[in-house]
Amino acid sequence: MSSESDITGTVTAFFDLWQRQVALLARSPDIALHELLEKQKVIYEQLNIESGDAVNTDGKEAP
Amino acid sequence: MTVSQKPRTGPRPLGLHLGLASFTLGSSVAALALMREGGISWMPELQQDADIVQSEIKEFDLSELIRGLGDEGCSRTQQMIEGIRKYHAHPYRRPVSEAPVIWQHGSASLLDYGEGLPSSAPVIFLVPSLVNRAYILDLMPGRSFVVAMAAAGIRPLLVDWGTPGERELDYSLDNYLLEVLAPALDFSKSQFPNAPLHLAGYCMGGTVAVALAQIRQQQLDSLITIAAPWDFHKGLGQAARGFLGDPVRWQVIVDSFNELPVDILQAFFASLDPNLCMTKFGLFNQMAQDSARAEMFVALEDWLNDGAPLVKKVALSCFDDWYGANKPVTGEWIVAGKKLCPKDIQISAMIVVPKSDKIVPPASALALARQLPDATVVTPGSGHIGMMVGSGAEAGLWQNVIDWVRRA
Repeated sequence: MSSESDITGTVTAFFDLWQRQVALLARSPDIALHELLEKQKVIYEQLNIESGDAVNTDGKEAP
Repeated sequence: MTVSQKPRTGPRPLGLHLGLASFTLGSSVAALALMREGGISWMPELQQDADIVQSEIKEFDLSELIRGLGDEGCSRTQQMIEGIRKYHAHPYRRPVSEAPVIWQHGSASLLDYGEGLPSSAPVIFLVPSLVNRAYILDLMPGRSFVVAMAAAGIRPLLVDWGTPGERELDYSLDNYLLEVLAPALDFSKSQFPNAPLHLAGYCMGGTVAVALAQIRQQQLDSLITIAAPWDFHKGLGQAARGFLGDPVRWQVIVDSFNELPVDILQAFFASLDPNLCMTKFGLFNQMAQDSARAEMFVALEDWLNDGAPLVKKVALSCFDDWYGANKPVTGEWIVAGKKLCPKDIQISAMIVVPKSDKIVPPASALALARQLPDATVVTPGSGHIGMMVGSGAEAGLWQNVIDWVRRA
C-alpha cells in the first residue's frame, strides 16, 4: 500500500487536473456539449446491454 | 491626495463564485471514480498529464482517494474563503488621481495627465471600456500607463465614463460617440492645436475608437487599438455565440433591470474560468499581506469589482449587433448614420493583440488589422489585463505605445 504523502500528492495532482479540465470546458462549450451527448449515448448503450430492453441511443424507448 | 473608501463586497457576484467552487469540488468526486475506469474524455492538451495521474490513482483504494479528495477540497475552500476575508480587511486603498478634469459632459469627463508638458507634446486620447473603470490605466503608483506616457513626454487625455446617470439612461452608442467622444476629441484638438493627436482605445473602448476614427480621422495622426474585439464570432464556439448573441435572452435581462447590471457582466467573466476565484484567493491567502504583491492584488481586485452598468440601448447593441450579427467585421455596423468601413480609415494604425488574452480572443482583435489599409500588429506576450498593469507592461505595451507615438 502506498504512503499517506503519496495519496495526498496524487489527489492534489488529480484536483489540479480537474480544475484545468473544467476551465477548458467552460471556454469550449461546444466540446462540452458534444462530450455530454456522447456520454449519454454510451450510458444508454450500457443500459441496453445490462437490461436487455430495447432502448435506443437517442434515449427513446423503441416501439 | 484622497483615498477611495468604498467597502469591499467582491469577488462579485460572491454567491456565484462560491457556487462555482462547490461545483468543481462536487464534480471532482464523480470524476475521480470515472477516471479510474478510463471513463473521462480529457481535453486533448490535458491527455498526457491525465495518463500519468490515472496510473497513479489505480494504486489506491477508491474510498481512500475520495477521503483524500474531500480533505483537499475542504482545504482549498477554506484557503479561498480566508483569502476573501483578508481581501475585505486589507488596508490598501488606491489613492484617487488628482488629474484635472478639462472637459465634462453628463457623467463623462476628460482627465489631463500631462500637466506640465509643453502644449506641443503629442497627445494620446484614451478611450477605455464602458463596462470597467478608466483607472485601470492609472491603477497604482508604478502600475500606471498614463503616468508612464507623461514621463515619456506624451500627454495622456483619459476619458472617464463615470457611472451612467439620468442623461445617459437612454443613450445609444451613437449618443456616446456624437455627444461625448467626438466633442471631447474636438476639445482636445482645440486645446492643443499644434500637438500630434493619437487616438487609443482599450478593449470595448477600442472598438468604439474605430468608429470615432472614421468620423474624425482628419484630426488624427494615428489610431491604436488595444485588445479590441472586432470579429465577434472568432474564438467563440457555436454555443457561446448562440448564448451571447441571443436577442431574446438579453432583452429580458436588460428590460428587467433597465440596464445590464455589473453582476451579470461579472458572471459572464466568471464563466471564462470558473476556478479562477478559488485559485487566486487561495494564493492571496498565502501572500505576505504587507507585500507589494498583495497590494497589487488588492488594487486589481478592487478595479475588477468596481465595474459600471451598461445602459440599455448600448447593451442591446453589443449583444445584437456585435455578438449576434457580428456587424463590425461584416461592414454592416452603422455609426452616425453611415456604415463603418475600416478601409476608409487612411491613418496609420497599431493593433495590439496580447498573446494570452482570455477575454478578447486574439483572432477577434486581429481581424481589424486585415481590414485597415495601414495597420501594424503588435503582440505583447501577456493577457488582457496583465498587458496593461502586469510586471511586463513597462517593457511591453507601454514601450510599444511610446515608440509608436514617437515614430508617427
